[in-house]
Amino acid sequence: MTTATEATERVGPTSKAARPHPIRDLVIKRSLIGILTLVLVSILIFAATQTLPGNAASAVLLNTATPQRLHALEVQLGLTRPAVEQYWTWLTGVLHGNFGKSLANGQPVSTLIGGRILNSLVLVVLAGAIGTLIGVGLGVLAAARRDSVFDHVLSVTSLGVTALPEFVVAVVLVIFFAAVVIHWFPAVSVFAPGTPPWSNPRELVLPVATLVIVVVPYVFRMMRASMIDALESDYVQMAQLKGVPKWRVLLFHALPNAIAPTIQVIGLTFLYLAGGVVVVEYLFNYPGLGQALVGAVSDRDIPQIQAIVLVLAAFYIAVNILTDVIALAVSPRRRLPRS
Amino acid sequence: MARRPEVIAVLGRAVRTPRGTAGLVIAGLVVLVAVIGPAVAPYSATEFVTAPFARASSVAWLGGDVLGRDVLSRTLDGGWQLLAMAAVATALGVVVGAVLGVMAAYYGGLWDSLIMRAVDVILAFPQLVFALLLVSILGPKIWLIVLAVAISHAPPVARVTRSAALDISERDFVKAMQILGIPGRRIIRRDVLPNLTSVLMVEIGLRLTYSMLVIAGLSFLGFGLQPPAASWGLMINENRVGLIANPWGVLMPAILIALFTIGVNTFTDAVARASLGVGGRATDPEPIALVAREVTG
Amino acid sequence: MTFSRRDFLKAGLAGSLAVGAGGLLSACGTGNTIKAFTTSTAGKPRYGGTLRAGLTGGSTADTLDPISAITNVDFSRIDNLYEPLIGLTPDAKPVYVLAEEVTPNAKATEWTIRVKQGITFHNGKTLTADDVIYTFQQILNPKAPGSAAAGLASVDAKGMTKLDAYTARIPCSTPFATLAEALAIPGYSDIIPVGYDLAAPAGTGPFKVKSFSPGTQSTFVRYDGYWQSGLPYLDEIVITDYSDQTSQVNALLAGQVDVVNLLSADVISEVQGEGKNILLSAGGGWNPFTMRVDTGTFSDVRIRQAMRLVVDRQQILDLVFGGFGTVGNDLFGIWAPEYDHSLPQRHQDIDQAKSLLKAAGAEDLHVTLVTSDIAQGTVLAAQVFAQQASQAGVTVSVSDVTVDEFYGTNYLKWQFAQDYWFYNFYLPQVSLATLPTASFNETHWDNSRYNSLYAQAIATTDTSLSIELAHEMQQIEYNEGGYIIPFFPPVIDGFGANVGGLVPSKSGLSLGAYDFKNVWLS
Repeated sequence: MTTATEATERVGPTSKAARPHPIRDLVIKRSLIGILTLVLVSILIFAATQTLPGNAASAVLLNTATPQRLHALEVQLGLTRPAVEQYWTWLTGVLHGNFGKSLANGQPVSTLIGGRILNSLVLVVLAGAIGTLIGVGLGVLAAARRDSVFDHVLSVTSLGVTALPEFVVAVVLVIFFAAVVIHWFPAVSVFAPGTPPWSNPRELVLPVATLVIVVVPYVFRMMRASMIDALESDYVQMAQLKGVPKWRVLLFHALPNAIAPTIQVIGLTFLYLAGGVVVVEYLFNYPGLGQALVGAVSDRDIPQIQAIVLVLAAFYIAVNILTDVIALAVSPRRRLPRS
Repeated sequence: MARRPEVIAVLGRAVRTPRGTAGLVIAGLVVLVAVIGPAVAPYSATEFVTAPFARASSVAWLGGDVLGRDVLSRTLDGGWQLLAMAAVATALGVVVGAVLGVMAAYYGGLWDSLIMRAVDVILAFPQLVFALLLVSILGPKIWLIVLAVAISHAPPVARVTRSAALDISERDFVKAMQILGIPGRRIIRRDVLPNLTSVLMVEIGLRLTYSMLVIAGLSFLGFGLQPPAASWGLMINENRVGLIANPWGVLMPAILIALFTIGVNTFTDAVARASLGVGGRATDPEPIALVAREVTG
Repeated sequence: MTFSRRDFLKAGLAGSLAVGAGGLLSACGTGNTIKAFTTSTAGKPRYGGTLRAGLTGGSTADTLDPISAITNVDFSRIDNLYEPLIGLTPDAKPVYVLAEEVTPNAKATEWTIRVKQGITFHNGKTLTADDVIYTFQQILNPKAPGSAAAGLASVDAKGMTKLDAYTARIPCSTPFATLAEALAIPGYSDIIPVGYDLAAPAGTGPFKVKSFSPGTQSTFVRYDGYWQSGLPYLDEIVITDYSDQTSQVNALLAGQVDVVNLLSADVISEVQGEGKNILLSAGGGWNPFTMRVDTGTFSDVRIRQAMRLVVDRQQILDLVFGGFGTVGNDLFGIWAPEYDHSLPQRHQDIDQAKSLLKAAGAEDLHVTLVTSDIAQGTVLAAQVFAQQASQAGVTVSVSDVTVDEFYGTNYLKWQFAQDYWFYNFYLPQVSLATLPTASFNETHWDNSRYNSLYAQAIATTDTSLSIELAHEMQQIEYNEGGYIIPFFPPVIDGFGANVGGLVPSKSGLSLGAYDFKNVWLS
């Protein structure tokens, strides 16, 4: 239950008149800051990997790791060069679009994770969109029938579902729909590298369902709360007194005012999903970015880790900017501290 | 007329509502189980009492875990570690985040930019991924897990408190006090912070449950507490393979985590409602009275 | 040690390698009989079909290069793309595959290897002695030694010569009577053609590569020019990497894969309950606890023996491996001809352990055991051991580190840790582990009597003499060694009802050492 939108900028009330394109400026400024953030993030991760007691060489060689073989592989992988030099080589490579080669198998990182980005994106977008629609819809309905049985049941259920860890939801879904009770959907979502994730929609059902179930309660609660707020406002009371039909009041008077704080929540939902896919991909063996990250970390494959982290961070920053832009655009009046 | 009783007042109001009572009771039950559990467990957490994943029997009421240890005893033993870790991580994260957010809001300018940029860097990751990266890189040590989760909490808390603090800082009575020359720290401590209590209390509740889920999630992926610690998160991971044979090894800790989360969430809900006061708006402090108090000391 | 002809089965005998394999296997001690195991309902061999394998243990470090194969799962690909000079039967006995004859001279300083004729690689080339020499040069390349380099250290790579088109002479810088045994270990003699290119891998195996995405999926198609006529049965193999046993089992139960590897005993009932089968192999791999004998706590042999006596070996098997597997006696090489079965089986003896500790002045011993998820059951076994040791007053703190830290700079230097080994014959294993010159001497053992016994054994081609020497060596290991070998873990795999031809293997590798050429789908 965040109390204020993040879009509260430190600008005075004259800003809108002085700068005619607040949205464009916002985007530019935040993008620049975003790039700076990305660089900082990559330095942070790289520095962290330098403190490892083990490294990619020992992760590859496992129990064949004699000191000689270890050293030979470390030299081959460039791990014996000074840290700053390693980082600099990587950074200049990235600026040319070259994300380096995986330490585990020598393949270009961009090939390894390119397809996976799409796969994870599909999960995130599907789950986010479906979850948002369901959450908003239920929230509006619950607010309209406030304190009814329907409302109470939904509220309690959403509270219970939020409390469940994601992996519990996933395990339960698999047990019911895939492996033990009925066999409608595949228990694992595996498809050959190179095939797009939508080529077999049934494989997407359970992973997306897991994410939707986890995400809906949050959106629902926020939508419901801000809808109730909007329904109690003078503006809406006026419309009702004027005799506008209830459904019009809901959709055209209350909803637009209620949507702004919910935009924040929807944005946060997509952000949450970016991390939420990790557990889901792990359990369904889904070939996405989250699964690759877990593997890359186990393998101490620094170029892969860097690349995946960059992609995630860029996604985060983009969603943040988008959320703020939409919030700014949609908000019918700027919220002042006292109404 | 100190501000502190305000917190107590709000809490008191919250407890008296049906939601508040329910939440407190549920969460309290789980805490109770975790705290006195080790004392009432029938077996030690490490002894082998039955066959691996044996079903519930008179010897082991919830059956055996992956090595045939008593699930009931390990559940009773394993709560306090997880709760303590989650509590410390939350407290640390919220305190650091709140301080940073208030400082950014109040002092503004360079401080604001610096703090919020640092916040952005950490916020550029999903919380779970951030914790996962840190823990897997530096090793699954308890203090590190707590630290990783705390660090991932601080930025969102900083963001929220900054927004709320901005709200307050821009109010006339604060500006009035600045004009009067009252030092910033005092204003922050005595007037800005106390008005953030409701926001903070809600954040604490949210963050606490999220700490639990993140730590449990880390354990599930194998990046959490390592054996032979009997922690709920670890239990979920190591008993996962026998879910069909004896589900209690996974279900029991998961149910307890869920109950705790529900309880805290419900209670937090009640606190949020209670702090709204009458009319649905945050209660405004009387500006003149505040100024008067500051001036007269 | 010479091989007599009767020890070999000609490799043309395809699926009938039934020596002691298949059928009923009972887990020693607990009466766990596996009546439903290994009996496939897949009927008679049939040509065609795609085998889908869901395998754990892989990662983006997966490789198709037989010279640097490392993990269990690497062999799922390598065993089907390439073939060795000498292989292992399911009973862990050596058998000629690509080689026709491998014989030493009297002093064991020179070996002659003759390969069979008429064998082709996937790229059309014919197998000749040149390829054999080339392969060994790659393995023993000092700049980039292969996984087998340590075990073949005596081979003088520069001195290898060709006697004729199909025969190579391999000199050894020191006597190496066990070269032929060593060659039988998976990965030690997979032959690659001269000019081998990893981008377009070619071997003599029954399948060739169609696509390969490390860490994700790889596909293989049947090689029509395969020299063993009538094989393989399958048209295609698809191997998918899984990160987690749960999703692997789910996939098997849902029919999305046909075979899965490296299952834990806990899922056996679940798998069988849904109509799938379990392949249980006795396994020859060993997962020891390693104690450093040169410094620290365990330099006192009494403490070492005490630690060996606190172990309840059968209990570890019961709790960690469902009762399957074989109890160990602190000696490796269980299936080797030299293994001394007459040494009395050690059991848990807390009283004796306590008195040994007391004599050594270590009644309240505190030690740290470094464990890691390096192999199935390792971490669980560590926990069981710790609990057992507490009965003798020994406090074992289990320190679970990440795999890469385990194999990092402290590997082979840990005071008290664990490790895992695939199956190896006796003397080759000694050369890798219990000599001061061994590459993996994790116990830092250096026993002069033992060393001289080895020097004699490695130089003699007289089987009975080497067995006698080996028995004395094992006696020393038994009484003084730094290894605790409580068990030989079982290998548990799963397969669908339509899969036929899988035969349990004692090599420690899954799915019958991934011998997919003999597998069919009904």
